[in-house]
Amino acid sequence: MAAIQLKNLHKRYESIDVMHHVNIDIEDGEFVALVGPSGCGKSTLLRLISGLEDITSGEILFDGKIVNRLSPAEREIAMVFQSYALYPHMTVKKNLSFGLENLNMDRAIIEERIQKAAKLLDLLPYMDRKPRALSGGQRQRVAIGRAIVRNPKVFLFDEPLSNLDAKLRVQTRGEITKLHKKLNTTMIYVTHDQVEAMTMAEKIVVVNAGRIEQVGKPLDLFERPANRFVAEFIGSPKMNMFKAKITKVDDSGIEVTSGTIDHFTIPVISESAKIGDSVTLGVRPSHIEIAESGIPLEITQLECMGHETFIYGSMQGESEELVAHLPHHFEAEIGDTIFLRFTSQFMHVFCDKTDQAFKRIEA
Amino acid sequence: MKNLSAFLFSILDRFMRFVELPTVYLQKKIGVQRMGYLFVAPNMVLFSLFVFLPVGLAIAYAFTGGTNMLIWDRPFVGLENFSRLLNCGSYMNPASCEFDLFWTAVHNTWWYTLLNATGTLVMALITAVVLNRLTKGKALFRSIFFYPVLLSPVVVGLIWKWFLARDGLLNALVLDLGGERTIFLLEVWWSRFWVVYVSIWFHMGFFTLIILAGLQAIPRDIYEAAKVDGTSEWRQFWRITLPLLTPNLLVVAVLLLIRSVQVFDEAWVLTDGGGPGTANTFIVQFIYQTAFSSEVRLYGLASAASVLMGLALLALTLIQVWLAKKAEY
Amino acid sequence: MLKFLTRTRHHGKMDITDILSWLWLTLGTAVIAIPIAWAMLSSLKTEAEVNSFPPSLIPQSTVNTQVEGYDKDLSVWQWTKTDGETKQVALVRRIGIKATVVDMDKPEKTFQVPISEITQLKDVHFQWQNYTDPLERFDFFTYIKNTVFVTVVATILTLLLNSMAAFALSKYKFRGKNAIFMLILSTLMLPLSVIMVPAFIVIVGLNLADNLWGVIFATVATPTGVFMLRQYMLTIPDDLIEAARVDAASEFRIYWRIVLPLCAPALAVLAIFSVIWRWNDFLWPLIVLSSPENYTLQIGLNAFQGQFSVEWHYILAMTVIALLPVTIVFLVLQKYITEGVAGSGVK
Repeated sequence: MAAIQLKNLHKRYESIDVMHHVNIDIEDGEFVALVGPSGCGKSTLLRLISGLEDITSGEILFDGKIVNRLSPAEREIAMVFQSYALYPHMTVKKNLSFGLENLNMDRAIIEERIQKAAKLLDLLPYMDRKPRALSGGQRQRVAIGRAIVRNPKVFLFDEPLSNLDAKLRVQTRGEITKLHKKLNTTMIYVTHDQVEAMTMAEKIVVVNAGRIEQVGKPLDLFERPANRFVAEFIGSPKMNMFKAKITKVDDSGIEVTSGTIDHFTIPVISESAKIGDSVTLGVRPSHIEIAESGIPLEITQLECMGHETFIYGSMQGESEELVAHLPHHFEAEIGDTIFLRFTSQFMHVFCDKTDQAFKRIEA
Repeated sequence: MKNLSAFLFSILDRFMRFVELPTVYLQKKIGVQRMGYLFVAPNMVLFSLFVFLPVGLAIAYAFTGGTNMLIWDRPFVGLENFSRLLNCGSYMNPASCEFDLFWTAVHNTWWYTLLNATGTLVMALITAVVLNRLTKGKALFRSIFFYPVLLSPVVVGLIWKWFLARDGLLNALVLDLGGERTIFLLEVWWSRFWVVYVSIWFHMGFFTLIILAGLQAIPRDIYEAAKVDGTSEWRQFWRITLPLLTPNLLVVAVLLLIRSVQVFDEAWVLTDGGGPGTANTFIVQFIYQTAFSSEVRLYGLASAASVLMGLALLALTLIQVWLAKKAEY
Repeated sequence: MLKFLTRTRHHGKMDITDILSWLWLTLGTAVIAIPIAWAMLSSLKTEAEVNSFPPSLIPQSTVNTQVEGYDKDLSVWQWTKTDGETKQVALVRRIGIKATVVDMDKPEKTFQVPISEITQLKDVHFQWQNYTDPLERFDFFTYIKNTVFVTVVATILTLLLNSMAAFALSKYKFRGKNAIFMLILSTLMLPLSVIMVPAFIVIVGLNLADNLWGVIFATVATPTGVFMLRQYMLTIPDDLIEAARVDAASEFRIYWRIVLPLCAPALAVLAIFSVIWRWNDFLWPLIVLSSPENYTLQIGLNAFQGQFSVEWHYILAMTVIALLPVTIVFLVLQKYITEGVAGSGVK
C-alpha cells in the first residue's frame, strides 16, 4: 500500500509535450479514476506512474520516496492491461506464477499465493488452460489475478472493462469495487467512460490534452465542475450550454441575459466578472423542470421510457439543441411546445475567456 | 518423454538465469530501451566483420598491389589493377586483352546470363501459369518443381555429370535412337548448352513459386468477368494475366540477372572447373582462381574484379528496387 | 488416378489447353525426376555394372554358384540350344567364340558351346557397400560429422542471434535503430561472391582459416533471418512485453521466456532454411577450408570426384547421402518451405 504524489510531472515525446506539469495527490488505499476523452493522455499518465515510461521532469513519490528512476517491479506496482496481455503460451497457472518466479520466490509461497488468488477469482477450474481457451470474462479475471498474486503496493488498471460486453461490464465493475474494499490497496483506474469513474472511484481526476482539468469526489465534479470541459464531460446526457451576457454584478450573484432568459440572477461569486462580458450558461438535463409557463421549447425528439423521459427540443433564439431529463412518466407529441423552468441554484456560469466556472455561493 | 523435455528445459532455464545476471546489471546501468543495443550487438559484430569490413577491404585491396595478404604490407598502386583488367585491344575480342581470361569470363558470363535469365523466366512463367490452372494436385506439382532448388550445387553438378557422362543414360538413349555417342561436357558448345540447361533445371522452381504467388494475387473475379464475356483462355492469358503480371515479372527478371551474373557453384562442379578449356569460365571463377588457387595470389586484381562485378550488381539492384517500388504503387 | 488426371476446370470436357497443361506437367516431372532417379539407381550398382555400357536400368549383379571340383565360384549362364531348349550352365572359361561350360548337376563333365548360344544370368542386387565403403575407406565419415556440426551449431546461433537482433529492432526505441535496420537490410543485396576475397582475409586475420568456426561465424548473421523474425515480432503486442516488465522480468528474461516461445512458428521456418543453407553451402567452405579433415560433405564430395573421377559408384552413393537430409526435410515440411519462399522470397 502506498500514497502517491505526482509533483510537477512533465512528459515530452520528441519535442511534443504530452503531459503538462501535473500535480496529483493520491492517498493510501484510495480508488482513483483517471478519466478523459481518448488521446487525452490518461494512459500516458498511468504509464508514467507505473514506470513503463520515463518522465521528462518532475517527481513521482511513493510514500514520500522518489521513484522516478525505479522500474515497475521496483515500484511494486501491478497492472491490468486493456488487452489483458496474458501470456498466450502459458497456462493460467503459469500466467499467475510467472511474476513471482521472476522474483525468485520460494516455490511453496508461490503455490499458496496463486491458490488464494485463484480461489478468490473463481479460477480454480481453469488453471491448466491456455488463455485462448478462456472467455473474455475469464481472461479478465486472470489478468486481475496476475496483479493480485504480486501483493502490489498499487494496482493500475488501464481501461480493463472496454473489451467486455455491457452486462459483464456492469458485473465486473461491482467485483472490482468489492475487491478494492477487501484488499484496501491504492488503485488507479483509467477509463474514458465517465459512468465507470463515477460509480467506482472515490476520487476522479479529469484529464484533457495532457493537463489535469479537475480533481475531486464524483459528486463534486458533477455538482461543481471547475470548468466547461469537466461540466460537459461528466454527466450523461451532456450539460446544456447557451450563450449569455452579464447584465449586472453584485454580492448575490451575476445577472445574465440570453436569447431566452431575461435578467436571471445566478448565485455565484462574481470575482472578476464585469458587465457586458460574454459567458456560457450551463444547466444539466436533470435540473430542468416542466412548468405551466416559462421558457417555451418546441419538441423535436422524444424518448419515453416510462420511468424516465428525455425531451429534445429547440428554444427560440438559441442555436444549440436542448435536452431535458425527467425522472418520471411524460407524454407529448413531436412539434408540441412545452414550457421549462430553470432553477438558479443548479445553473452554472462559465467565463468565455477562460472557460473557468464562477464558484457557487454555498448556502 | 514429456518429463525428459521438462527436465532438459529446467536445466536450460537455470543456465539462462545465470546468463541473465550480467544483463540485469547492465539494464540497471543503461535503462530498458537501450538494452536494444545489447540485443543487436552480436549480430552487428558479425555483420561488421564479415560484410561491412570486407566491403571496405575489397575497395582498399583493389587499389593495392603485390602478393602480401596484410594490407599495410601492400604498396598503393592507384588504378593500376583496374587499368590492367580493362587493358584491351578490343572488348569484343578477349584474346586482345592483357587479362584475356577475365574477358573470356566476362563474355561467357554475359551469354550465360542472357540465355539463363530468358530461359528460366519463360519456363518458370509457363510452369506457374499451368500450376495456377490446376484445381487439384497443385501442391504436389509445386513441390515437385521446387524440389531441385533445395539440392546443393555439388549434388546437382554430380547428378548431371553422371547423366551426361560418356557411359551415361543420355548417351544410351541417343545411341538407341540411332544417334552418335557424344561426350557432351567436353565439347565447347554442348557443354555451354548443358550448363545453361542445368541452371534452369536447378533454379526454375524458385522463380516459378514467386511468379505463382504473383498470379494468385490477381483477383479471381477479373477472370470470371472475362469468362462471362466468353473470352478464350489464350486471350485471357495475353490480355489479362500477362499485363497484370508484368510489374512482377520485371522484378523477377532483374533478380534473375543478378543471380545469373554470380554463376559459379554448379557450373564449376559440372564442368570440372570451367572446362573444356575456358568455355565455361565465369567471372566469379576468375576471382576465385586469381585470389585462391593460382600460384601467385593476386588479391588486388581479384578485388578489382570483385569491385567491377559489385558495381554491375549494384546497378542491377538499384533497377530492381526501383521496379519493385513501381510494382507496389 | 485417371479420373484425377482428367479432372479439369470445366467439368467433363478436356480441351486443348488442358491437354497441353498436363503434357507440360508430366514432361516437367520426368525431366526433374529422371536424372535424380538415375543417380539413385546407379548408386546401388556394382562397380562393374556402373561402368558397363549400355547401362541396365535396375541394379543387378551376375549370379554365381559353387560347383564341386572348382575353387572359385562360377558364373551362371542361360544356354539356349539350337532346338530352342534352354538349360542353366556354369561358365568355366571362355576362349574365342567357344565357351567351356559345366552342367551344374553333373559337375565332373565339361563341354563346349558357342558363346552366341549363352547369355549371362543376372538378378536384382543392391550394392550397399557403395554407401559403407567410402565411410570406412575414405574420409566421408569425417565430412558428414563436420557438416552436421556446422549445420547444427550454425542453425542454433542463427536462431539466437537473429532473433535477438529482431527483438531489438522491433521492440525497443534507441538512437540509430532505423539506421541499423537499413544497414542490415542493405546487406541482403550484397552477395558473397563480391566480398569473398576480403571476407577470407578477415577469416585469416581472426585465425579462423581452415577452421569450421570460420565457416559458421560468417554465415550466422543473416539479413533474411533478421527481417523475417522482425516482421513476425511486430505482430506480438507490446502490451505483453510491458506486462512482463511489470511482472518483474528482466529484458533478457522477456526475450527468453516471452518473445522466443511466441516466435516459434517463425523460428521453425528460419531453422528449416538454415539447415538447408548450411548443409548445402559450397563456395564459402571451399574458400575457408583447406585440409581434408576439416572438409564438409559438399567440399569433400567435390574433392573426391576430382581425385577419384572414375569411382562413380562411390561418388553417386555419397551424392545420394548429400541430398538425403534435405529431401527428408522437404518431404516432411514441404508446405512450410514452399509457403515460406512464396511469402518472403527467400531461398
